Amino acid sequence: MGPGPGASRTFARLVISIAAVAIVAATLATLLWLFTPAIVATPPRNPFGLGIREAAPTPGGLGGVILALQASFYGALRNGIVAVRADRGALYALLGVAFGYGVFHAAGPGHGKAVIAGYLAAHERTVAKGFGLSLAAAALQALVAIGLVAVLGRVLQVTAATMGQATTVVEIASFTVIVMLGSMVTWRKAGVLLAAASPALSGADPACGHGGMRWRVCGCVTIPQVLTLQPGGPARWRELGGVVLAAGLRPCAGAIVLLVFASAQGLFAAGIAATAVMALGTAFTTGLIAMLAIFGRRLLLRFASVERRRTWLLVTGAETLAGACVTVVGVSLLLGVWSSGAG
Amino acid sequence: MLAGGAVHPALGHPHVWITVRAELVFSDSLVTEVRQHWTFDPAYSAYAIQGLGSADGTLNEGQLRQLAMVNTESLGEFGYFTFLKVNGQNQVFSRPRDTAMVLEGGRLTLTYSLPVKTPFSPGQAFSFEYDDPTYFVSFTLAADDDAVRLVDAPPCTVSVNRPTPPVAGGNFADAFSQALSSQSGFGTIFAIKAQITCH
Repeated sequence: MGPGPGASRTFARLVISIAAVAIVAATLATLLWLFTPAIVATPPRNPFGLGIREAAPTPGGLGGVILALQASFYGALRNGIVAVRADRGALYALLGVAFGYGVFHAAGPGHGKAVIAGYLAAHERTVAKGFGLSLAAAALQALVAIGLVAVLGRVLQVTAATMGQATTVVEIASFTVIVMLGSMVTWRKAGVLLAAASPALSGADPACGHGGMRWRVCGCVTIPQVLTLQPGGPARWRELGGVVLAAGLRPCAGAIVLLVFASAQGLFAAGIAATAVMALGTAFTTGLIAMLAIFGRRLLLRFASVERRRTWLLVTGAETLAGACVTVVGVSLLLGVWSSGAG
Repeated sequence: MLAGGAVHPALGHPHVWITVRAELVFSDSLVTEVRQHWTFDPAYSAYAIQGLGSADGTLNEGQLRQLAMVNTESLGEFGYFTFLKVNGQNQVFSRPRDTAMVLEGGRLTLTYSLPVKTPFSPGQAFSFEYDDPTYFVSFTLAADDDAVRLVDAPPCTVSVNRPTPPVAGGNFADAFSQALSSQSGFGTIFAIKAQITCH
């Protein structure tokens, strides 16, 4: 991902990146305008002024079923914590419910899934990586919630309003990472796209590695081969770390409330256990969505694997848009925090 | 307020459960205010009072008053989740008065009076409703018969539609079948509606 050979090339790459983001933003805005319910909405401010908030699926149809399930699991979790206070044996039931809550809570809309799916749609990754990303993001999310309640709630004993403010700071950081990740992917794919589109440039493009342009010489390199030419080694791990941060940094409001509740009941350990199992449930659902992104991508590539320049351009274009999607999600989330005045 | 729901597209699945009791206050045969008694669920109560209580978990007067203020401050943006409809027209409320909070058995109860901006004649009938279009708050009507009471009212009758919230007892199978069979989705499960008919 080094600098291009010339200023005009960098400029063209920038134009492609911005155009991709603009196309996605315009498409999303149109969709939102046509079908009012938000796809990825920043939750507005808390009606009781205490900071926690959460995005919800649309109430009709499948969204309604998911909502009802989330709500009943959440209620059961609360009852489960009370039950554990009376009888430690109720812990297993609590953990079971926590797993179910994780599974269904993650089935609603959320930026975490959008980030992971967007990233996986833009890059060739294995199913194991997809699940690994989902698990790591869910684990991070649980750790942030546990850490916030342990440090702010138990050690510093701050008020709910202060904890809400702290959560907002974490939220802004998380959304900023999403924008950065999305911009990086868009920029990279724009570079690949540019190299593919301009015959004057040879295969020396560092954006896609050596040999990435061989198809133009002999037209025999399959598309998946070209697409896998991405940073490896430490750079790759840094990037995956960025995806995990972007998807998992923002804690779930339900987990925070339940942890505070468990802590107030003298059952913080049970709360931590429930949060950990909840993360497993979340990882399960996010992992399935990640798999959909991976297989969807492979299916598309199979259709596109006629080794022609035009199809390859289309695929790279789609990848650029996937990256732009992540950027737009991040920007709209940030704008949402800003406009809800929670900052 | 429905427009408000569109501006605030989504909150969560309910994270806050409120058991409500309300008094509709009449003066000279006009509806003038709604007195609200909102009891929060234990988990949200614990969250709201964290870092405030003394070692024995009690709050002093000042803390409770402060909490009542914080809790009602933002509610205006949400129209207090309270819908008074006369001839299909939503009534507007002025700022809440007499806000107070009590903590009992680990549950907070918020009370406040919500003046109707333009007191109205009840006419033949009007409706009184709680709803959160963003599904962050779930309202349940208190179980007893006079959960919605009329104060100083002319002869009127109250009929209440009590939706079964899918949560309360945490019965997962019930909630599931309810959600599946509900044509219009989740909102109708949660909305509380009282119809007041005057003679």
